[in-house]
Amino acid sequence: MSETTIAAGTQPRARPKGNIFLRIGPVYYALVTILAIGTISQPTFLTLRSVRNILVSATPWSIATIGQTVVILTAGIDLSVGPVISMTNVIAADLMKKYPEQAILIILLCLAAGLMVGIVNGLAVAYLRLNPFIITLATGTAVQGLALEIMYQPSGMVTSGFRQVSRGTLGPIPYAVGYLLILYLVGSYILKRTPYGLSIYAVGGNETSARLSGIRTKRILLSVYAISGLLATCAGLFIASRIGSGDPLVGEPYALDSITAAVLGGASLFGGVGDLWGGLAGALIIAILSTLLNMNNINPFYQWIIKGAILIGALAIDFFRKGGRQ
Amino acid sequence: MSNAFLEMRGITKDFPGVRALDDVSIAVPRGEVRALVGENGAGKSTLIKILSGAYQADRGETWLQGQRIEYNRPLEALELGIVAIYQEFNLVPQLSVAENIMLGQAPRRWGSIDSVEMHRRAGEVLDQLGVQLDIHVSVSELSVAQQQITEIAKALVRDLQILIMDEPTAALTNVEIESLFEVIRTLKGRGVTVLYISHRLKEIFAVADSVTVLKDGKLVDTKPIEEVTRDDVVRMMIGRQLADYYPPKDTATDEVVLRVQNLNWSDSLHDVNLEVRRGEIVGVAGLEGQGQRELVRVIVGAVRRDSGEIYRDGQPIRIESPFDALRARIGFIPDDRKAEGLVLVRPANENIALASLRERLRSFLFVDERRERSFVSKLIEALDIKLAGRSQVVMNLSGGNQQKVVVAKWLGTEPEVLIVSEPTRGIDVGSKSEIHHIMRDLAREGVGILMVSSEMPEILGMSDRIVVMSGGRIVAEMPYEAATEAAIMAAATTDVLVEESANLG
Repeated sequence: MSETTIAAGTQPRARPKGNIFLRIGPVYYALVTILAIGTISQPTFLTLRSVRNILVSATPWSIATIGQTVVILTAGIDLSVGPVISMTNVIAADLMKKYPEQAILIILLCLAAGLMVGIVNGLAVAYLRLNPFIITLATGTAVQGLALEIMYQPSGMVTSGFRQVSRGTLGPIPYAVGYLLILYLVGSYILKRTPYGLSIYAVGGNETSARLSGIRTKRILLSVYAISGLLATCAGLFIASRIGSGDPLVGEPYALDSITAAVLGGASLFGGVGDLWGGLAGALIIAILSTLLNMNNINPFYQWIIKGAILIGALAIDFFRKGGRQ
Repeated sequence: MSNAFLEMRGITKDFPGVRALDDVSIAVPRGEVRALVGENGAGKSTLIKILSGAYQADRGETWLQGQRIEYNRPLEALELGIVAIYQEFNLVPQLSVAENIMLGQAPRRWGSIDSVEMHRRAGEVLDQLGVQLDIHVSVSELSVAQQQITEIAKALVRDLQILIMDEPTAALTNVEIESLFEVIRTLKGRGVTVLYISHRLKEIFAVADSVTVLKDGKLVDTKPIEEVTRDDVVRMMIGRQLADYYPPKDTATDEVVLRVQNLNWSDSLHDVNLEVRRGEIVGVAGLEGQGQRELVRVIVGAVRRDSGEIYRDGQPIRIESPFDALRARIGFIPDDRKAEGLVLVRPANENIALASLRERLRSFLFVDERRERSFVSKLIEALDIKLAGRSQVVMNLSGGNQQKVVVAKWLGTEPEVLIVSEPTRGIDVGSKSEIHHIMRDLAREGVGILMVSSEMPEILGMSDRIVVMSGGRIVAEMPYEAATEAAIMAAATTDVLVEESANLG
């Protein structure tokens, strides 16, 4: 069959029918709404300085959410994201203080450590068929212990060059915006336009069908956990750069927050549905919400309650969407 | 109006695209053993599921002892003494025989279970059935036959009126079958009415008082067992002519494209040998569950064979996963398209491209979008798949269009061997005929097709050659010119195990 000659006869790409406002995911409306609330309640909210701060503080969330979303697309979940962030954060801060001239090597070491955790998770899920919730909870707990073993209270220091990773700007724009754009553009392209990315959706949507279609589903499953481990490491390193030191508990909120962001963004915990941009909007919502609650001096306990409520709400929507489909 | 103990009148039941039961009436006197026979899809299972409350009839009435009964759930049927025993038992493996028999009915004393009384009563019930069974042993240690007895005893505790048995002997040895028949006779003596479904006609003549034949959802006839012969029953079961139009059989060649040799897998496949030639459609016939499903799964690498060889174009090949099968240009259209053929939550174009992404649609690391678009469009057009748009989610398509999406996916891989399981199950007549023509067109292009089907007209209408499976073996092979429904049914209903053990003994 020759492929090129028929192109003239192909139909234009059909778009889903319906009002454009209905086609945009609800997460983007939520993002706009929360921006509006912020602007009204805090006069300083929309200043350049504040926007920049929010973007930089949202960066680790946004990075970790990519990995979490990809795992959730395969109907899995990664609870080790937070501990991996903590562990790589303290490894970086601890080693950079001791060997400031070896920064590059230390970064590579952290990436290797995060990747290892991801591979362990992936092997357990893909080849041993263990429940992702349990196995990532277990590896996460072990990794958290390791982080506390390395550094039982905040300490360490990163090199001044490494600090520029999070603090540097290009004109008025922080580097962080560049990282996010690159990661999200590349990530989305891979998901939607490569055999690998489309296979991830297929494995998440129906693993049996995907396997019977000749997809090596185990490799796909293994890879998404590895990616999640790597991206959690990137988030941990970014946090190390931003706070300048190590904190063994800094990753704590990230597992749940990244899940919330992904699900808010339209990813279904049943697998096969979702994309990265929605997850980015979800991550921004969580970052903005945290900033706003802090600006308004809301007790952190209420922040937890609010985050919990948001996740429950997002899960309920996911559940009813699925119910509506079947 | 008869005064039968159980009467079902004018029962009609529709499923999407098919009328499973059409105005079926039966009347069974108290204490009679009634056999229910018919080919796959004749409506037997639907009828008993309606009686046991698992399904609701669209039309028709059920009367018990002159009273019209209505119920919406299996539990309500149970309360009326109507108990169905399927091949999957409803027992708690960890509990003992006595505990299972008395489950939910256990006698109490001082608020807790009176163990002595419970065991006494459980033993009593087993005595009534005339069977020896240790009531203290846990059900997980019992044989299938013993579990079956436990299930029957459990029903007896609850004022059993009507016992429905669906293929009860499928997993039993000859001795066990004989003692099951003894139990059924005992029950009959106690006034229990039995509905007995089996494909094995020999058993029906051994145990039933009368036989009801169903076919294509309609009642053929009910006869006392003394008034019919085995041949009569077979004739009643199959008395249909080939109504559908099938494409001409003019494409087979001599070149063997797929050969399997001495294939064994678990308890399901025993030394299966098979050849498929280019342009040939080989039909695999047989009663349900005789190893057909396992055969195709082994060939496509969904499960790993225990032993045996698979040859493609005369070369032995390694198939350990569907990925290997895809590379060997072997395509697979599974019988359960929703569970195994489609990714329901994804759009049609992704489903169609799924098996071709890596080999055909990729340039460097990426999917070549222009090529993908023309690839998908060509297949949609060739198979006439009705879509609102190429990105319509396949969940929302009709059964026929969903099946075409699966076919399109494999057509796109340009297979040389296509393994097809129940290609037209649950789809409308129009799509059915289209799929049949697509299959023959593929054969014309040189594809060798192995088709498992439980629909006799499809087997006869499509196959160039027919093999019949029974008990995990190929028990007969015939060219289509020599194949008749009667010959196939005769081969399929031969009790291979019975004959074998007779030879051994």
